[in-house]
Amino acid sequence: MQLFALEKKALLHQLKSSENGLSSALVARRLREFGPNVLERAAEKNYFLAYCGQYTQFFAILLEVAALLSFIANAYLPGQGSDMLGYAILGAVIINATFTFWQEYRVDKAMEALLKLIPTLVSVKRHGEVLQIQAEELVPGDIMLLEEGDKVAADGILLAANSLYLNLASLNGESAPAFRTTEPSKASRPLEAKNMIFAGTTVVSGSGVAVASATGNATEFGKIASLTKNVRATLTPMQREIIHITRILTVIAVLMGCVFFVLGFFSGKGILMASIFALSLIVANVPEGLLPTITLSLSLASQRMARRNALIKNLDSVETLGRATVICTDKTGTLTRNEMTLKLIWLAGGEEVNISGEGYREPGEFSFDQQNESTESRLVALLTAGLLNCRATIDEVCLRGDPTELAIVSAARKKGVGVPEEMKKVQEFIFTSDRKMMSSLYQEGDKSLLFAKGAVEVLLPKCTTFLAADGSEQPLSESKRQEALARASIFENQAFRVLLIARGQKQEEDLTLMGIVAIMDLPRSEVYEAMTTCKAAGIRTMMITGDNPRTAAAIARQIGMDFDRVITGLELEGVRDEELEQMLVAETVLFARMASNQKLRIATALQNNGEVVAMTGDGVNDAPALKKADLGIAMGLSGTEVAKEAADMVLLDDNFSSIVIAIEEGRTVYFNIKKFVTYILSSNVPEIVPYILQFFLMIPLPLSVIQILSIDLGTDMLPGLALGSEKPEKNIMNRPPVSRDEKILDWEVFKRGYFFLGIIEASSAMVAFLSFLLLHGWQYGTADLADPFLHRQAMTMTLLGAVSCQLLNAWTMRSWEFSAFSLGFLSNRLMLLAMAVELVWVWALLNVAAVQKVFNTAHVPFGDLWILLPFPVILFLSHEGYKWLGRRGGTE
Amino acid sequence: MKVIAAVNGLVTSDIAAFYALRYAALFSYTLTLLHVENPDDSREEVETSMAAIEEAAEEYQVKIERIFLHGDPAPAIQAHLLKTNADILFCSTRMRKRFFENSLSDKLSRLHLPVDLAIVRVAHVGAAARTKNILLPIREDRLSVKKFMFVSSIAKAFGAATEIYSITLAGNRRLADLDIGRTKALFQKTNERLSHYAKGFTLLGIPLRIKHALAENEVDQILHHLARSEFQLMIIGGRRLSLFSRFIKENPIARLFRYTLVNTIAFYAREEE
Repeated sequence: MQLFALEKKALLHQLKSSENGLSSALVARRLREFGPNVLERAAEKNYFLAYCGQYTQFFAILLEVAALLSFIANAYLPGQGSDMLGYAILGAVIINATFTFWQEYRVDKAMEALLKLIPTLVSVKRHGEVLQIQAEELVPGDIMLLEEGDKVAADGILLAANSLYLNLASLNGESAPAFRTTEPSKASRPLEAKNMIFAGTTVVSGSGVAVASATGNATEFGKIASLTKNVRATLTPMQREIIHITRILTVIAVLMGCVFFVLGFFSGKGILMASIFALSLIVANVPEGLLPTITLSLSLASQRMARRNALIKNLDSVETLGRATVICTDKTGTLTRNEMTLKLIWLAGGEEVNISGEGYREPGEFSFDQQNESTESRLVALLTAGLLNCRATIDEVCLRGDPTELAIVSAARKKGVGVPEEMKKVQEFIFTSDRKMMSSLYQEGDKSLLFAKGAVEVLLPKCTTFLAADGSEQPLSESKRQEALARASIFENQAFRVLLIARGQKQEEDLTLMGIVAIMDLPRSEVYEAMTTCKAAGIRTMMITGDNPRTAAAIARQIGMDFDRVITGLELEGVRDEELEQMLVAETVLFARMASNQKLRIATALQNNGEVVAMTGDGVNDAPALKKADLGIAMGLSGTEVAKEAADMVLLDDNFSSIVIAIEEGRTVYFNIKKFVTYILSSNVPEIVPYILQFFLMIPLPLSVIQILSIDLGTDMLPGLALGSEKPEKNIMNRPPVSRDEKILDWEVFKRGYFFLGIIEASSAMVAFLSFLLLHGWQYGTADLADPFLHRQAMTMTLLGAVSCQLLNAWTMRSWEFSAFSLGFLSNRLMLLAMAVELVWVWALLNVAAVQKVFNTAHVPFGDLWILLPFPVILFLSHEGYKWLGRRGGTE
Repeated sequence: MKVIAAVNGLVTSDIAAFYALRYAALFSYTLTLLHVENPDDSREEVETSMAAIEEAAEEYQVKIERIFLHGDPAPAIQAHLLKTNADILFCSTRMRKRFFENSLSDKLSRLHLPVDLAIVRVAHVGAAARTKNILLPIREDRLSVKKFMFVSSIAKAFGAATEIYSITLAGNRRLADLDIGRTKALFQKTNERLSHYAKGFTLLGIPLRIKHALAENEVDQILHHLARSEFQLMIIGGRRLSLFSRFIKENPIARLFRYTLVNTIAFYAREEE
C-alpha cells in the first residue's frame, strides 16, 4: 500500500517514526541511510578538462603536428623563420580552442535557480522538541512543522492540517492554491494525493504537521531537477556542422599532405624538406579562421536578435532557429495579450452589455442591446458586487492579483464604480479548484452581505432568486435558470471565460443571481500576420495549453492557426508513444488541458519524427521540456527563473511574433554562414595551388606559410564577419525550413568555393607572381632566386593577387542567389568597414617595415600593381553571371 | 532452498527484506533473517524488525527462520552461506559520499559468495509495496541469462511490468554520424538481438517494453529516464571493479546508487567455480 494511503498510526509505524519525531541517534543513522536532503548533480563538468579536450580535435591535432614540425625544422635549419611559423600556428590553435570552448561550455544555471526554491532552514519536531534545522539535515521520518509562507523542504504526508493551502506551481504549473487534507488518499500517484506536501512548493495559507516521506533526489521536485540537468543525447545542427566541416577538410588536408610528402621524398628533397612542404600544404588547407568567424558571427547575430526582443543564451541556437520546422507554443501571453478583458455582461434581467477597450488600462464604453430605467443601476450593482469580491487592485503604477479579477476591476474602473466606504469586509472564502467559486462577507451597519462569483454550474444551483429587470429580486424560475445556462453556453462557445455573479446574506446559499460576465484574453494583434508568415515558411505551429479545448480552438481560429484535431491531456495519457509519433506526422494537433510534463512527451515524439522543435514555456515544470526541445524558449516577462535558465532563448516581450522574427534571423544566419564558408574556402585554393605548382614547375616558392596565416587569420576574418551580419534575403521566409540533415558544407559550397571562385583566385595569385618575376628579368627554370628582395616582392604579389580577389569576392558573396547590385551599397556597413581595413592592411604590407618583416613582404612599385586589376573584376562578374544563370534556370 | 536477508533494524534493511520475502514467496523458499551482532545495532530494534517481517510473511505463506551470527560481519556471512543451501542474499546499503567504501554491502560484493547477491538501495520508503513498473537499464543488448532470471522473478513476484532500457554510448563524433534513419536501424538491430529475452518475458506473462537511447553518459541518461517515467524499482547489473579501476574512477554502480530517484537493486550473479 502507498504511504499516503495509510492511516496515521500505520504510516508512522512504516516510517519508524512517532508524533514526537525521531531521536538524535536515529536521525544520525537515517542520514547515513538516505543521505542529506540535497538535490545533487550527477555529473559535475570539469571545465579544465573540457578546455583541454579542445586541443584534441581534428583541426587542433593537425595544426599542433604542423607547429611541432616547424620547431623541429627550426632546430635543424635555424634562421629560416620556422620557429615564428610554429608560434603563429600555435596561436591559431589557441584561438580556435578558446572560441569553440566558449561556445560549447556555458555554465548551466538552471539547477541553481531550482535550488532557490528549497529553504535553508526548516522547523521540525525531534524527540518531542521543536527545532530549527538546516534543510539538508532533514531525513525520512522527520516531523515537519509548516506555517504560512514556508517553503517545503521535502516530500511528506500530513498528520495535521489547519486550512492548509499549498502553491504547487513548481510541480504542476497550477497557480491556484491547492487545498491539503489529512485524509488518507486513494490516488494512484503521489502528486494526486491531497494529503501530501512536496519539496519546492510553498505554503500559501494555514498550517500543518507532516512526516517526511522522501528527501533529496527522491522527491517529486528532485525528478524535475534531474530532468533539468543536461543530458546530451543529440547534437545541435551547428555542432554537427562543425564536426562535418572539420572532418572533410581534415581528410583533404591530410591526404594532400601525405601525397606531397611521398612525392617530395621520392623526388630527392629529403625527409625534413618533404615534411615541411607537406605541413605547408596542410596549413594551407586548414581554414584556421573558420571556427572563430562562425562563433563571432553567431555572437553578432545574437546581439541583433536581442534588439528584436529575442535574447539568445546558447549561441548554437541561432542556427537551430533557422531549421525550426515546428513551433509548440503556449497560448496565454504568447498568442494572447495575457490581459483578461471583460467584454460582455448578461444581466439577469435579460439585457446584454458590450464593453469596448482591451486590456487592463485602456478606457472603454458600455453599450446595451436593450435598456430600461434600472439597467444602469443593475449594471453598477453587478460591477460593485464583482469588485467587492476581488483581491486584485489596479493603480497608476502596478497591477496586483488574479487576471480574471483584474478584468472585473478594470471593467468597474471603466464604469467609474468604486468600493463603497460603508462596506467592511468581514471574511473571505477563497477560490480553489475544487470549489470553483469564491465569496466575501461584508458588514454594512448591522446588515451582512455576501458577494459570490464562480463557475455557472456551481453557483447557479445555489441561487434561488434573480435581479429582475425592474430591479427587484424575483424567484428564480426554471425558465430563467435555463436562460442563464444557455447564455453561459453561448459565451463559452465563443471562447469566453464565464463567471456568474451573485449576492446573498451570510451563507453561500439562497443567493440572488445578478448576471453572468464573459471574460477573454484577447489575441495579440500582430499574431495573425506572424502565423501567415509561418505558413509561408513551411513551419507548423501547435498550441499546447492548459486551457479548455473550446477556448483553445476558438483562439486558434481567430489567429489563423490551422489544426486537424484537438487532444486533451487526459486523452494523451491513453495514447502510446508510437501512436503519438504517427499522429504528429499526419496531423497538426491542438493540445488542450495539458499538464506541463506532457510537453516533454510531445517534444520527444516530434523529434523522433525528425522535426526541429521550438517549444515555449514559463513554469518551473516546463524546464525539462525546454531542455529537451531543439530550441527551448522561455517567457521573459511571465517566466520563472528556472524556465529562463533552462531555455536557449528568452522572449523579452513574451510575444509569438518575436519567435517568428527570430526564426527569420536564424535562417539568415544559416545562409550567411554558408556564404562565408564559401568565401573562406575560396581563399584556400590560392594558398594550395602555389605549393603544388612549385612542386611540379621550376619556379621559386610563391607564398610562405606565414602569409597563408595572414590571409586565414587576418584579411579573411573581418569580411567573413561582415558576410555573417548580412541582412535577410528577400525570399527567406518563403522557403521551406532547412532540413535537420542538410549540411552547410554541401557540394554547392565546394563547387563555388573550391572549383569556381578558388580557381579564379589561384589564377590571379599565380599570374601576379609569375608576371612580376618575368617583368623583372626572371627566366623560367630558375627555382632559386639570387635576389631575396625580388623574391619577397614576388611573394607579395601572390598574396595581393589572392587578397584583391577576396575583396570583390566578399562583395559578390553578399547574396547567395540575387545580384550584389540589388542589395544597396550602404546596407551592410560592416562590409564597407572590412574592405577599408583590408585596403589599409594591403598598404601596410607594402609600406610598413615592421609588418613586412613579420609577413615576409616587400614594397612593390605602384606601376606593377596593374597586374592585379583584371582578376577581381573577372571573379566578380563571373559569380554574378553564375547567380543569374541560377535564377534563370530556377536551380536555387 | 533459502533466500537470505541481512537485517539490522533500520528502515532500509526492512525494505530489502521485503523484496527478499516476495522473491521467496514466488518460489516457496524459506526466508532466513540474518543478523550479525555488532555494537552499532540494537538487538531490540533488530528483533522488532524481524517480528514485523514475520508478520508480513504470514500473508505470503513464507516460512521464516532467524539466524544471529557473531564476529566480523562479511566473513561471518560468507561462512554461513558456505554451509547453507541458499539461492540469494538480499542486503540493504546506505547512502555514502563514496558509496561502497567500507560498507558491508561493498565488502560482500567483492567476496566470492556461493550465492547471488542483491544489494538494495532504498530511495523511497513506500515504493516497495507498490512495485508496478521495473526498469532494467542495459548497455546495448548486454543482458545475461542470470540477470534476466532475476529480473523476471522479481517482476513475476510483484506482478510488475518491465522496461528494458537499452543505452548505446555515443560521443560527439558518433552522434554526428547518426541521423534518424541510422539511429532507428541501430535500435532495430538491438531489438532483434534481445528478441529471445522478449519471448521469455512473454512466456512468463510479464508485460515488457524495450526502449532505446543514445547517450554520452550512461548514468546521467538512466537518471534522466527515471525522472520522466513512473518506475518504483530499478534493477542494475553489479560490476566488480579491480582495485586499480576503483582507484582511478568511481564505479558507475556507485554513482547510480548515490543519485537514484527510485529503489534500486544491484544484482551480482554468483561466480561459478
